[in-house]
Amino acid sequence: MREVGWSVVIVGVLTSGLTAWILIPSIGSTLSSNLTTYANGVGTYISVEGSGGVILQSTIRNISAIPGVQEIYPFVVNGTYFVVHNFNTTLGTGQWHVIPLANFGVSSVLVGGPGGFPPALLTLSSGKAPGNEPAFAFEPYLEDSQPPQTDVQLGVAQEVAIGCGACANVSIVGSHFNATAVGEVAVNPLFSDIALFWNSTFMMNHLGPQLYQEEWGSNRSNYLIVKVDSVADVPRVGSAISQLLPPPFQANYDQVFAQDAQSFVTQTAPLYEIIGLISLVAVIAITFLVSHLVAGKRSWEAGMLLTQGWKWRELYSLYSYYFLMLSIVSFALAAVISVAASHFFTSTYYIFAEKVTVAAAADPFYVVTGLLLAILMSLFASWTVVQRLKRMGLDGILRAY
Amino acid sequence: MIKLEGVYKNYGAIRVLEAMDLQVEEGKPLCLLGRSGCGKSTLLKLVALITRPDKGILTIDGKDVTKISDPEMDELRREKVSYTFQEPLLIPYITALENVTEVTGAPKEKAVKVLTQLGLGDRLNHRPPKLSGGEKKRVDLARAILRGTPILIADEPLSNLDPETGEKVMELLKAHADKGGVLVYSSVEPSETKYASQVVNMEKK
Repeated sequence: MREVGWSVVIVGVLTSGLTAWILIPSIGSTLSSNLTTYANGVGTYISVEGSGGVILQSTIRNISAIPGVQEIYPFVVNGTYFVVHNFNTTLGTGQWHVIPLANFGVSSVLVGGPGGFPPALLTLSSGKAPGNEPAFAFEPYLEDSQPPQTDVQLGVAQEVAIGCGACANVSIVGSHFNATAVGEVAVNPLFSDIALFWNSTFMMNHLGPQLYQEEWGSNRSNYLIVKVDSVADVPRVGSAISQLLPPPFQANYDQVFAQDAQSFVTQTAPLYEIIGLISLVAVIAITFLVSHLVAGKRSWEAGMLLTQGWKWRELYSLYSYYFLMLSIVSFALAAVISVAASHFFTSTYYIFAEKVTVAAAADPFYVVTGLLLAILMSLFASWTVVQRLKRMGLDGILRAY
Repeated sequence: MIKLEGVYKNYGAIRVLEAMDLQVEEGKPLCLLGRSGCGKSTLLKLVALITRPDKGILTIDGKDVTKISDPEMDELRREKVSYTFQEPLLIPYITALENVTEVTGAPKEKAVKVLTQLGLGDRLNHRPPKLSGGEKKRVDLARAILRGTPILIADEPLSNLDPETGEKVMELLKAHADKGGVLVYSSVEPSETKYASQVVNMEKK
């Protein structure tokens, strides 16, 4: 029964089957899970913006009444100016000029406070969030390691390029001061046009309550982020919001992503699970075939043991022990292979035109069920072998010798 | 006691036993004598409860085995019968001693004693591929003796054995009968019938 060659064959078949069982559905499951997480983080949001206008409170109330709208975050986007001395430009003339003092405006928000950007949506990729100090976080497109942005009309190589720790002379609501870049926000297509993020407490202390209240505290938001219940609701809610908005406001969401995410969750992920199940069924069939070959080839051992007083139950225990050992070894190999191989499976999605790469991982559910299956398969294989021997009868078993 | 009345046994279209009558009593060894293919092994398998008669009555200690279920026959075989094969069946990847202790569950000391009595004292830790045909046969016999069942069936126990070793083997088998056990063995050599109280001459059908 315990011939090394056949044992290796059984371990090989079981390992490949259990690997398929763990790996294939895991890929589907983790990609689906990661995509769902990403979808819930970005895909279920709609941003509303317009150049210069104010969103009426009545409009906000109407939006909040749309079924599927979970939360609305209204805030104020205004401008911060970078003051650059001795700025080189051609000004479109073909000849270089030096401008002694130039101001470059970018969109900015306060984080927290009335009219402020919701802190929960601010994620940093490096550095820290600005505190009660002259400091700001910035969008990745301002990062000084980015490729130069060329403005043909101005002939400017790059207006503003900063990195964490850089100091800049800025102007906001007429107040000039030096500030430090302390953090870089993660790419988020929802508000990629917002370049700077200030701390609201700092700004109130710096500008004074009156000026602060005039700028941010009078319910004159010009930017909304709307949280929707699910990705599936996004197109419908986005369309409903668009109908409520006066020009120049518009609702932004990624319809293609919303559809892709839905399609993945409802079609692709179950397909992975079906493939995994088919692999498993195929492996069980092969395992039984191999176990039958093993039992048939050396059935005389079982016959000999029965003539020496062994009970069928004891024979079943012997086969179970043998197959269980092989199954455990196979499971251990399959788990290691699955964990190692899963890192090679990644999927790329384009969300709001941003490339998102999601890596697969061995799903603990399939690892645990893989172990249970290995145990059950060994017990079931032993049972079928013993049933087959019983059908052969002792005389038939011994005749195989 | 074993009793056969009008027993028939076929293998496919080949009739191996026909209207066989036989009675074996405790303490009276029986030898089945005949050439190869005459049905000795088939008859031994019948009395060893490895197979059933196609027709006729086979009783062991008064119990008609043709009328009992497979599990009941398994149980009866376990309790009553030890069987040694014409070609010894040993597990090749364990030692001679383990082939006795692991298979029969006999204590190691008793197994060593019997194997030594059979002239295998220096071969205990050898695996079957390293043993001669006669040595393998003796390991198989040791198992049957150690199981201690009332009925001992031996299929050509003296084949492949030199006369001296054969004598030792038969002493042990006879000792089983002398203690009141049932012993049935087969042989192709008329000279080997000397250990038996009864001899059945068998001819090919």
